[in-house]
Amino acid sequence: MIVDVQSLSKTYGSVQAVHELSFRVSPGHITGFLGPNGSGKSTTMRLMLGLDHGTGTTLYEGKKLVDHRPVTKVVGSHLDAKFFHPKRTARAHLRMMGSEAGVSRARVDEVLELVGLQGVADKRPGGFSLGMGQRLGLATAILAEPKVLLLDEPANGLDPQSIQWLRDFLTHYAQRGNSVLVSSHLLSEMQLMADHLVVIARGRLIADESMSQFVSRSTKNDVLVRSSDAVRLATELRAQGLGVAAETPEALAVTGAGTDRIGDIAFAAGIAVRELVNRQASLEDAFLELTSESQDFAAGGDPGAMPADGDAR
Amino acid sequence: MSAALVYEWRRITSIRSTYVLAALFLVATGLVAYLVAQVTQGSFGDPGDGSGEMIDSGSVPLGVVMIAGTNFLSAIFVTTIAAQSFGHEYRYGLIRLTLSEYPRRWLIFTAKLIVVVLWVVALYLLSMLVAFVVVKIAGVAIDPVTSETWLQLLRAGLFLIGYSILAFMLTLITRNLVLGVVIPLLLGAVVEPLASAGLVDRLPWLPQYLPISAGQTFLNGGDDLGRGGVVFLAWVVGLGVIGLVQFARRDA
Repeated sequence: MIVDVQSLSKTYGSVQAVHELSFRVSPGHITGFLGPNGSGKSTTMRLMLGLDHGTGTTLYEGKKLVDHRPVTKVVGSHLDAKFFHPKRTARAHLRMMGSEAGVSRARVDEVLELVGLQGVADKRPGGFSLGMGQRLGLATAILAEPKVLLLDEPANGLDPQSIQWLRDFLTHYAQRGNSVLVSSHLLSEMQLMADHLVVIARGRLIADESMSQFVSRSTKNDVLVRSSDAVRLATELRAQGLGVAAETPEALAVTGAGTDRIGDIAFAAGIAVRELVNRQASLEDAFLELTSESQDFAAGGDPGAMPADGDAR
Repeated sequence: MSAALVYEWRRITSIRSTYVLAALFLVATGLVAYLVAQVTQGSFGDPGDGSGEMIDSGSVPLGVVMIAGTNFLSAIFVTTIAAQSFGHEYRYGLIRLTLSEYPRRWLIFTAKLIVVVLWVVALYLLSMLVAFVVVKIAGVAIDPVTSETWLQLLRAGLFLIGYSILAFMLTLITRNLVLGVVIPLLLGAVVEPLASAGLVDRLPWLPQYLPISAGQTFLNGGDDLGRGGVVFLAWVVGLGVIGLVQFARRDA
């Protein structure tokens, strides 16, 4: 099911939280939803679900959410790990949330087992850890087997095994032809999970492209060359219009060409190459570069400037 | 609508506090009925001959005993159940789950209101039964049941429903469970009596337009019964409209 987000906008007083935001979430893919703190990700998700009032529309297979029946077969959402009554058992919570789609008791049990909560199904979730709350939230979202999943920071509080489980689960869920939009601050995890990215900053879209396209934008995609004569090789490479930066007296970081071309240039110049490595930027590198100007709530100090014990005296 | 009703039914029946509050209400009404029966026994009574003359018959009027517990103080347990309808949703963030499942807001609003009214009616009827049984067990003689007795019981039931809806709406408007319960209680126990006493010279007409006072007038019967009922209903409907409009317009 295609989710078409069209010109969503939301203003809180004088603050424009989301501005004319349009993108599409396609079936069969996990779409990562990224942005710095306060960029409008959660607000966007709430607008998509009709929880907040703003302008613009979100169409699910060409129709607004309110025009679908049952709604929970169309979209399942998980916005917070603590959205439950602390005294209502996990099983009763899911039974209640399954009422709109007529979810059976057997399906509730199945989902509880799937997320690993079958052992605490009849316990009150008030004492659940953050990770268990995330699992209950995810169970609520997938209960009616919706065609679209909207998940806001679902990996927060999960241990590494659970994060891997979540990744595998969402990958398989998307592979079954469902659409998944997931926000996360765990960028390394997102790089493993998502194949498409929507990146926003200050409520505006700044990227809507495949993971590989997004990462390839980073200036940290370069080639490391260690040679017998780094100075002369640098001159030869610059003459060919490539970007060159010295890393060590022997090593250069080269941008603008791949390993084959750099190797050919060195060979033509008669310079022995001792190491030639293609270095790819991470999602984190690309994200930080792209959003460096757009952080509303960035930490201001240099963490390296923290005084060591005793220095403050 | 049926799915929304099922949702709300499962919501209200899956938390222990609903049953605890219901039990407390029944205990409170039973206790008050017993005390009232003991106090009023032998002090006055209706001979049931249609004369309306109160005589010391040695028995107590059933209506008085049965609705004694349905005052705005012991009704707090029922109104808390009503207030929890939206109160728990906002306190625990569940409203966002609920509205993502039922994006047509009027639908869940209506379902909640229906289920609350059903609970209040059921609890009221149960409380009548409890009061009757308590009086019987206590061995207190009861006056013959008259048409006025039934009207008294009907008015008490309507008052309890209206009072519960007030708490329901105030919780929705304030998005705060405690305020939804406490505001009507304070109005009835403190604000309205003080305002009425303090302004009796300058604004002698004021008490009859205050919500709980009007409801009590309706509950007690008498010449002002109709006006009290209309004013009380106007408050309930007015807050209902404000609650629904706010619920539809504001962010979850």
